[in-house]
Amino acid sequence: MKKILLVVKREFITRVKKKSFIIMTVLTPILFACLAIVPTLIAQIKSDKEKVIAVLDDSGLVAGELKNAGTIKFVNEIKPIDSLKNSLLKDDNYAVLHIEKSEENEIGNITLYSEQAVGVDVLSMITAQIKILAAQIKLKEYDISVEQIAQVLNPNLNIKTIRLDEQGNEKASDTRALMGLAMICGILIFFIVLMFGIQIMRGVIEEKSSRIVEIIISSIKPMYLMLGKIIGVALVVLTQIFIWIILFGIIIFVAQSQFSDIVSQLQSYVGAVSFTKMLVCFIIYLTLGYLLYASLFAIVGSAVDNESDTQQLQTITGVPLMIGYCMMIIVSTQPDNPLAFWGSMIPFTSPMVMLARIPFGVSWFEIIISMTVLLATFVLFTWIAARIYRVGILMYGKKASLKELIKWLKYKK
Amino acid sequence: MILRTENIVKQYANHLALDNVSIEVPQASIYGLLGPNGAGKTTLIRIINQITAPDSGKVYFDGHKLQETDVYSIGYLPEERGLYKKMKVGEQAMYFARLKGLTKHDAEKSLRKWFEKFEIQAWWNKKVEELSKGMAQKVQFIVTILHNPKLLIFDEPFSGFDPINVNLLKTEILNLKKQGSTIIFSTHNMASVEEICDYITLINKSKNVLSGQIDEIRHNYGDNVFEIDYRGETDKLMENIGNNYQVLDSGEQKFFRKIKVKAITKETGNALISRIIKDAEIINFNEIIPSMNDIFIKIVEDDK
Repeated sequence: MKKILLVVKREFITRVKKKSFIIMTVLTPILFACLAIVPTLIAQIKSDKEKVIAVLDDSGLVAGELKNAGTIKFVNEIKPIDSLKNSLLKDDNYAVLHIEKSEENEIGNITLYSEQAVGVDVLSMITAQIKILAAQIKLKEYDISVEQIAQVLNPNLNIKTIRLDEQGNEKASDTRALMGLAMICGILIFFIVLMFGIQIMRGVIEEKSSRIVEIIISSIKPMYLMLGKIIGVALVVLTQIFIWIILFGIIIFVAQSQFSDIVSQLQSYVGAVSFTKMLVCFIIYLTLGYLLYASLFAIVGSAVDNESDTQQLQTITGVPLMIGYCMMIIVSTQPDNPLAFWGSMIPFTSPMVMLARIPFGVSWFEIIISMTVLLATFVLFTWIAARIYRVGILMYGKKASLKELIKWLKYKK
Repeated sequence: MILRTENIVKQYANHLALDNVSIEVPQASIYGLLGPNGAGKTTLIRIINQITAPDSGKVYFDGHKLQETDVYSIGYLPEERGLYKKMKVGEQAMYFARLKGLTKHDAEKSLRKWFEKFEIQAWWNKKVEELSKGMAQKVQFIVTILHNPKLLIFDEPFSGFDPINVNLLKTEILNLKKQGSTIIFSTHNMASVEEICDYITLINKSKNVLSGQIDEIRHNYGDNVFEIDYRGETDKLMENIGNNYQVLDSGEQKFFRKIKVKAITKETGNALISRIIKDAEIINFNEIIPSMNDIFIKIVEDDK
């Protein structure tokens, strides 16, 4: 037991001390924060310089109706278009908007002249304004007010979703938000399991290819070495997630104004039963799912000599994980699909699929069965992995096939 | 006997790695484990280290049946050996020492002592990838012997060392023997076997084909060939020797004559001396004892 702790400590410390770990841990939240904050910041630091657009309106319908927006200012002109075009090149006007005359009460061709390319935001702003004007002109013809149209197009409807529990009590539920959260959790599980599973595989290959392993297993049983590695990496995962949560907390706290939406949403979740259920399930499924796949990746690592040989076996390990990921996406839109039930029971996919089902209501009974199956499979596979591992780590010079792995499983010791 | 194996059998999927192998390793001796590649030496060593278990047969260590805690009393330097490349030398040595049951304090204390002895203190904070192969081997050697094990197992310990370091290592191995450690020594280098081993076992094709004290074995494999330098008449000498001997070689040097003979029926050197001493002055008398190299090749070739 003391020896496992030594292995855990080594695995943990060497990984946490790595530059890549520190960079990943610190940079990820900052990167996310940047993605959220930077666009708003950029919008704020836009130049304050006024951009004047000269409007020559031959139809007489638009001029005077265009509203200035941001730094864009519309100025009506009556000079002929050619002189406006000429002056555009000379003076500071940003663009010239020419609206041709068509039939009565009808906006004709519109042309925007400019020296530099006009930004998409400016173009769409002008288009939107003119569209509304055109619509208003038409509506006036039919004698309908804009408000009336708005009522027709956007009737004030609000669908409340209320779930009945077993006692027939009503509970308001906002499934959409929870669904989003479930997807995030599921995706996190997928990536964490894959990323750290591969780390374990690499660790095993490192020990094998640099021939350390025989020195170590003359002091410690291979099974304990493997467990120590799996637990050590698990602690790394948990540390990273813990630091992320803290950093996200700090970022959200510091830039509260930017995240007011998220903060208020989070506040509305915390304390809700389904949120707690989700959090508990996330942590348990993440841990168990990781442990199960970790032992599979340990087998892959022990079966090969170097990383380039892992392709075939890595695929066999990765496919169930991918299937689980796809199932999760399907289940999030079709919770009644039979796939949902079986996917959330089969241990290789259940960590992700079950999380996707939780927002739609899953009884604790089902969850506990699914977790028990997952736990049992993890124990079984760790046992299998340990048996293959202890043979595999001493086999040099050949890439083992699946058939050989099964043969190793049967070795006595 | 510090170590005794009894009728060890180990079967792998399609070949028999060890076939009824028994060895007895006396305390405070250096015991050579010899044999061609693939003969089963490494399997036997792994069984002693409890890395694998035999299918049948028993291993006794220090008077009791080999048990899990015995790993603390055994030091093992495998043939295929390495270190974590990205870890610092000191940290890594501490890790291995602690896996062998030393406390943090003891591990550091004796590591510092050995680093000083090998003059490698400056490496403590270096990463292993910065070391040369020979340097890394030194670190591995220290890690192997650090916990003062009763039994040390070295598998090809000298590979990768320059002659100066080979000498350093030999001296340390002999020192360890003096201090009461027992050393099992597996190698293909027969010259070093003759130099430092007290006993040997030769394993060929999964079987123990030859075991015993090294001088005894070499004498037993002697072909009764003698080399004599003498002054005197050759004819007279030949007459005295009689028909019992076959002359392999003879020659004339500036001040003496040389002859090499082989006894057809077994006879001691003394008997031969008494035959020739009457009429010749013996300058040099030598029984030619086969080298371990010759014995090794002879046994393995004959077994084919």
